[in-house]
Amino acid sequence: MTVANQNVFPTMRRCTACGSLRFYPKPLCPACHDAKSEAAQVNGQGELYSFTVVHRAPTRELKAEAPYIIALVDLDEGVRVTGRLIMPEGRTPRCGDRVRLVAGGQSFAIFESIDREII
Amino acid sequence: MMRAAAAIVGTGESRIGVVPDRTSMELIADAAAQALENAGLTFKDVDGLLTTPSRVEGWPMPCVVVADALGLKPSYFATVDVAGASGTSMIHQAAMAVATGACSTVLCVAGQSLLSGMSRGGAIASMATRGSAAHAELEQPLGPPIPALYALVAQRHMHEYGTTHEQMAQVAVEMRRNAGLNPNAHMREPITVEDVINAPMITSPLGRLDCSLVSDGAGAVIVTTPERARNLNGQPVWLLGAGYGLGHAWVGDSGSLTTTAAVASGADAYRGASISPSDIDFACLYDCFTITVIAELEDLGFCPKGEGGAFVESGGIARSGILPVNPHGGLLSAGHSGVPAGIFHVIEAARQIRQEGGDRQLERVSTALVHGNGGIIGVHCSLILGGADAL
Repeated sequence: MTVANQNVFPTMRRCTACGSLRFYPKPLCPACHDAKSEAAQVNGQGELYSFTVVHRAPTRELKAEAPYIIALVDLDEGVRVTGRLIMPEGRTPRCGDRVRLVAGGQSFAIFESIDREII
Repeated sequence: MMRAAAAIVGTGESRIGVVPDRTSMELIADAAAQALENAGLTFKDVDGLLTTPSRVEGWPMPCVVVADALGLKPSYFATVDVAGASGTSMIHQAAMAVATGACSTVLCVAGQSLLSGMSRGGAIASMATRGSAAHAELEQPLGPPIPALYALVAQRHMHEYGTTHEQMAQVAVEMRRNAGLNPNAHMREPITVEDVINAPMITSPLGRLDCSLVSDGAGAVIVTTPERARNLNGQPVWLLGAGYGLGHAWVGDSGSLTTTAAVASGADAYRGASISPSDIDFACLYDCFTITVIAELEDLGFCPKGEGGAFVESGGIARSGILPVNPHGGLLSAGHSGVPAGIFHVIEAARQIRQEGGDRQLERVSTALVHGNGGIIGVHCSLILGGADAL
């Protein structure tokens, strides 16, 4: 299952001058400084760059959700995105794991591992 | 900037740790008064002022509010806001100000009542939300406490280089051992590697003892011209080199989280001072988390990339090691009052060079590297300081 559309990554833009993708909102292309860009879609699969399992949430509202995993994912299109990662009970992720988008939360993307050993 | 165009001539600290009887501004005044006394100067001699923002107070135009409270009408003033790099950056900005003739004597002062003014939990929640180092739209909704953002660095460093939690823990152990010799340190009870490993997990792989403290405290440094520095009684500490590095604003927007822009800040500082890492006698490195020190040791050239963990494990940063680090105990044990705390690393370096280290004085130290790191290992300012022997 792949849920890949611009509702999940509404800030994803492609520079119309040099073609670079950017996830963080910026008025100029970080690669060529051109101001023109267009909305871009991504497939939602990639590699886990890094992650952390948050045990101590910073605010009262978040404490009920802990533990939760925050992830940085290098998408196959060559752009890094942020999201949460869900794992099967008792399994821990590793940097370099293949992951895919399973859902867009209210305000962030949710990934799952597609490592064959785990599934 | 020209080598030795300005000098540090005085340092001061408020009480650091749990100081519920002093407001942020009183802590700042305490540190400023001690620094001026240490220099043999008075508030009347100050014609420049630099400070940092205060999370606790949220002052508008902090430099103006602080100048007003201290009764100063400086001819040069500014608020330096590069997060954890502000402490080192203030010294460089002050040196530029006196070198250009904008003023002659700069009070660099910063501090706040982070613990007593906000509570530990309040400070942690504030840092994760209001004016957070996490991107408001793309990172804050994920719920990262600040340690989670550095945990991303640590996890990747472990993956790429085999760095272990035991190696990171050794950083915390050394800082606590050093703090035991510092009467003004917040936490002085010795800890072991096992204590660090078994501490409550905050955000993997970082446990509570991998994270800096939440403390009250302020620090102050007086920077002046070479002429005035030579006419004062104390030994001047010369600014021999400085450099900046800008990697990224947001943790998810970095190319690499394991090789940082400290490479650039360090290279510029060494070039300015015409020295190399092997000429450095000791270092004061920004230690907001244990992993930060390991990355800095590598990127500032004290060991090859990926060998920071082994360097620490072999005793490299201990008082008796080849590069003593943070003899005062750092942010991990001496105290961390938020953004202002980067100035404590400068103060310790200057005190050691001036032989004012008391029980923790290192032997034969004339040249130090001081490093400030801000954001999520994205913003860097390195200084090289030296005494008369280093000129």
